[in-house]
Amino acid sequence: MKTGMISFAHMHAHTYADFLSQRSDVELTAIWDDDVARGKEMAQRYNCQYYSALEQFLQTDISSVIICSENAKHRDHVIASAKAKKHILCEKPIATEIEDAKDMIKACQEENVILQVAYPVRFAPAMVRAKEMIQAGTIGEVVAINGTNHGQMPGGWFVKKELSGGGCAVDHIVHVMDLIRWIVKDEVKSVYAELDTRFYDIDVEDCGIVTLELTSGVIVTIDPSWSRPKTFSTWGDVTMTITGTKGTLSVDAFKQHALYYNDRENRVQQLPWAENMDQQLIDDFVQCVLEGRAPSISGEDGLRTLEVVKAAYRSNLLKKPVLLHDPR
Amino acid sequence: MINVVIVGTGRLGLEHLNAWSAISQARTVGVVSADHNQLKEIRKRHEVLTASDLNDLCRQVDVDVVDFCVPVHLHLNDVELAAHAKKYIIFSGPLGMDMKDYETIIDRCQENHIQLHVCQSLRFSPEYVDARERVLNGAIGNPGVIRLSHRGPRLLKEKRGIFFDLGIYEFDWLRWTFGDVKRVMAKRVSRSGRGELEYALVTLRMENGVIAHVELSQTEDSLFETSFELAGDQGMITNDSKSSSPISLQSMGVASAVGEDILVKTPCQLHLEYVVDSVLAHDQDRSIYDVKQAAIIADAAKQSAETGQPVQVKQSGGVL
Repeated sequence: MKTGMISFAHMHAHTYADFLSQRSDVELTAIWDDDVARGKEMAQRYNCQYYSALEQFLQTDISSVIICSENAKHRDHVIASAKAKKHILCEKPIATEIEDAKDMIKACQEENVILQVAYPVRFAPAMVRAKEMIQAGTIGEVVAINGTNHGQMPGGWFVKKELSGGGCAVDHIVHVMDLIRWIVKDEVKSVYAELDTRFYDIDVEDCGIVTLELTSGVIVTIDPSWSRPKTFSTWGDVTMTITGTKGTLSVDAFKQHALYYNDRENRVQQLPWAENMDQQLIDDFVQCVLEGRAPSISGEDGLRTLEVVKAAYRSNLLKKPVLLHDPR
Repeated sequence: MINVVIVGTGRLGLEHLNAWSAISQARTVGVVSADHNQLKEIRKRHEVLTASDLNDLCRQVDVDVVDFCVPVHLHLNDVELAAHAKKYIIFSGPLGMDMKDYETIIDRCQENHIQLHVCQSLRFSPEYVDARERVLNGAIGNPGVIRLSHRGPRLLKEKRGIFFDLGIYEFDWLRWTFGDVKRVMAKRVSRSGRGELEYALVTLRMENGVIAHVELSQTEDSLFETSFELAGDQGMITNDSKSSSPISLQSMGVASAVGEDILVKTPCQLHLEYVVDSVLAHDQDRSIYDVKQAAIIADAAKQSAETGQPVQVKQSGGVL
């Protein structure tokens, strides 16, 4: 199977490309990037062809694309790829506007191509196990979830609203939100958010707390803040404390690490030894395309989480909860 | 020398009896309880008068401080008893079961010129005291997001509600450290019968803009656990009672409890010493004002959980 990469704007593009290259049944043959220097450099690194024109890139014989462009560009890139009959793995969030996400899903349906959204944390072994335990009833009926997706402030286009769609709320609500939907198989009823810019001199929000209620009555908070200090031992975290009627389960996706007290760089660093979740994501997408099966993480999954992000912004403006209609 | 009477001989009363004996400026002159066997045991080990009625005991000996170590639902009745005695009185927190209790008890004390002390325990817990000082000294820069967690066992007979029961301590510490609260959003779930639990997630917006998140959990068989994470634009301070215990014990392959506070002076001891200092200095203690403010925040959280809406808090006068 031949595949191509659309943009290396998002840093995950590097690990995705690395894991593609490791597979014998996949060939990374083409890279498009609107940053010519970056695109040429990556094409050289991965030993493939660089294209400066997207149309030309999409005319090649690749059967799938991985899109890691800036959030606001996902729409155009997904729709163009769908029209060229390419199967698609799109970096999260699916889009910056709900209408864009709907257009993308529609285009992929019409062209009969796979649209998978990159939520790699679903593949973290700890999350897989936690989901199994919860669905087996280990902690009884789930009643509450206290989730975090903290990070360091990423800078660059991530803090330019016209490219990213917003700050930490766009960047970090969606991972935990997707995990919750996946684990408890429920949708969001109401969203309340306190968002603010308190850590950095930037034009988008860098911190907040989002309070949710699911249709079943499960209560949730998600902390998406870019609140990890520069001296923090890693980029951030994804954690959930899940309270049930028979017990409490805490899961930390990045807990499997050794600690490195590094005198050379004057810092303490986490050295992850967990199996790489990005690799599982890439493997899953490739299997999906090869077998022609439905994607594990669909465009609708991307849309549902984007709806929560948009509701959080509205709630933060209104200072009251925003109700989402039950999509089921 | 300050003369102290302890009311109640449960776990708390016995803990306070020990704590008072370590304070040189105070002596326990009496213990009040309906449990005659327990009083007999106490007389064997301590030189104290005992009685089943507080006023009886007050007629026999000069009393400066009455230390009530009784369940919270008895506080309303106790404050009436103390009104006759006109003393310094101590309640271990929480003071009441709801806002009305707090107002009634505080008003009765003010009418009768009783100096009321309530143990807001985080003000005497070394990790919280130290973290607060560092925050105030600028260690984390401008504070951004503050996360607190408090877990404890769910006791079937105590149904006063988690915001007043557990949250009151966190709300008090937040206000003590970051100032008044502007707005509260809270969600709460509870289950009764088997698997009895109460759990709440509270978001507070402080007047100075700080966003605080408080997790409160009461489940069957839970241990007491607390943690905090204080993130600011120049650093972060974290603590977790689970990972900061200096002793862990495995006995015959089973993890065993080592005791909650491995400290020379427990928060309880430090609070009693604080009361002694304020009695000796004849201070007009303002701490009761703070106790009421913490209750106002707890009440706002309760209202928010009931209505599903955020509640604006007016700290000086009550909930708007």
